[in-house]
Amino acid sequence: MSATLPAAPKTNRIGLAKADYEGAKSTLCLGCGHDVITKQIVTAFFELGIEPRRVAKFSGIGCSSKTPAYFLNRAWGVNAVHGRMPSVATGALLANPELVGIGVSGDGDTASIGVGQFVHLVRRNIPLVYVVENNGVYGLTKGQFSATADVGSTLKGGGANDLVPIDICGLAIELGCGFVARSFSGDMKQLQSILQAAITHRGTSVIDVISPCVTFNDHEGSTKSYKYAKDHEEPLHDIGFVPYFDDTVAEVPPGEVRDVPFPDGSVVRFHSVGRDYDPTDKDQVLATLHRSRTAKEFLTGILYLEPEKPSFARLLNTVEEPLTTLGEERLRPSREALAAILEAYR
Amino acid sequence: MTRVAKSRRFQARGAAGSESAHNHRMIQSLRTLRPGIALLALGLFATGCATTAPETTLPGRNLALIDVQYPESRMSGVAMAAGEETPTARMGKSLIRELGRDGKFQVVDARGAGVRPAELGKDAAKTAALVRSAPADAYLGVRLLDCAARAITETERRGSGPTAVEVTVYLFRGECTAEMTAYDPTGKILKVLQKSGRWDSPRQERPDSGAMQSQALTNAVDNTANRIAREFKPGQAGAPAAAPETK
Repeated sequence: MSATLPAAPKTNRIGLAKADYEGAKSTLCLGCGHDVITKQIVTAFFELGIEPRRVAKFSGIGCSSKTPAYFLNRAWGVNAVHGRMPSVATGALLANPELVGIGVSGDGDTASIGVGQFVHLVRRNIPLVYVVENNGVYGLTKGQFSATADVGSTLKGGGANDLVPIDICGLAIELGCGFVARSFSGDMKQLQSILQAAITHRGTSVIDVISPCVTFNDHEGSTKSYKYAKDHEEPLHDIGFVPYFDDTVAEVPPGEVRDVPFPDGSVVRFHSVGRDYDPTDKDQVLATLHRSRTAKEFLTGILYLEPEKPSFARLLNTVEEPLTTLGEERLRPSREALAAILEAYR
Repeated sequence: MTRVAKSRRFQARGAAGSESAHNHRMIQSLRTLRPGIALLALGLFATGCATTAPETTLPGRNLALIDVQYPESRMSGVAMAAGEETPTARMGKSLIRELGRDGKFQVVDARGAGVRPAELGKDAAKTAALVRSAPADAYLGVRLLDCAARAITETERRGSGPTAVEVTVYLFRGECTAEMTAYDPTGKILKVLQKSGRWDSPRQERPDSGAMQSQALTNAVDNTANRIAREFKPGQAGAPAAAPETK
């Protein structure tokens, strides 16, 4: 009698299995879009071969902000005060520039209570992947409209929204964000490419993901439901991401593909889907976004990309090393050095 | 007793008393900061103090550098003075020096063996030849990700008041990011480590020469190699020391 040994788990380029990137079991509602995003985050870090201990996870308050518990349980993490995640992330990522930061927030945590923090995170270009799990309602408090609910969208129990929504992507682009994308939790292939590119980007990457709330906002009349998003999603392009360590060169038909390189050698590859859209042309991007809002289109893809934009740490010219590893001799300037600094201000 | 009454009591104690009163007021004002300090401490404890230092023990003391690569397409953007070392050549030399500093590791340069990291353990003939010519506990491959020296212009304010002047200063900022992978002789990955280094040329009131740009790049590469080398330490067990080359 012969016993069959289970196959060894597939490992990534640093020898870790996918299980090494997972977290606790989700306690969200069955079918919640947030769980799909969590799975894609796990896959993205696994595929890129980033050591979990190099990652710091941040969140605020809300259903979305629970999700960092469900991925990368070997990473560092802070579940911050409601809407205050950007401050904590700013401090941590400046104190240790070797960390790969990912923040998961919701539409309430970002566009309502946290909007004051969000805008400063973006304008400073803190190197953080900022994922907004956007369902248009406050799920934890039984489904009231959030600040991203579209005009005319209805609640489960009736009642339409009259207030103009905050467009998180439009806001981020106006504030100078170098990586802005919109996706849908039901479009896993696109979301995966966007996440990998966002993790590689060396500045703030804002990803607004429409993630239906199956309990409070997945009905007829909602513009953030699975059905509505599936019926109305219009990808601006097909996205491929080639990380710097991938040496395979794919043949691509000329004229239909545009490559945008990242400083580390990775490449985002845009395949045209018939639209004339240049994600590096800010004026065109903003005009397209304005038109799509009027036409009530649900455009997805990497909306805007500027890979060379300097991060906050580079602008401040801070050290490359984590502050905790600096010795006293580097942290404490000599009496002469201090005198020279003071002299420069006289 | 109220704070005001307590404060007045301190004030009534003459010179020493007034010092105490001053201290007391300072303490009172600091108390209002306590919630902020607590949050800061929590943030630092939870993340700022997070160390990204990996498990950096390699199986032994004997290492062999087999490859340093920088995709050609990216090399074309690197400004170098005539006769200057390429970033790959510099990284190889610098890494061997830094890893071998104070006898921490014994490192041999096995780049001449012509074995790429992807071939380790897969191309049996090449691997066997490498292991024969450069027996080591771990084989190192390095990939440069983004190494360049960029021209920077900054404005400095000098002096104060009406005599203050703003001066434009020029410098070259050398930056380099490299990823080093350590393999065992069968090609199994032991460790992947990514580090960045930097070096700024002295600030000048006029643009410096291309030679200084080259120097900034070289120093940034050296700094990166130093940072990589600092992360690794040798384990107890290991293969016998690399045999000296005989001809």
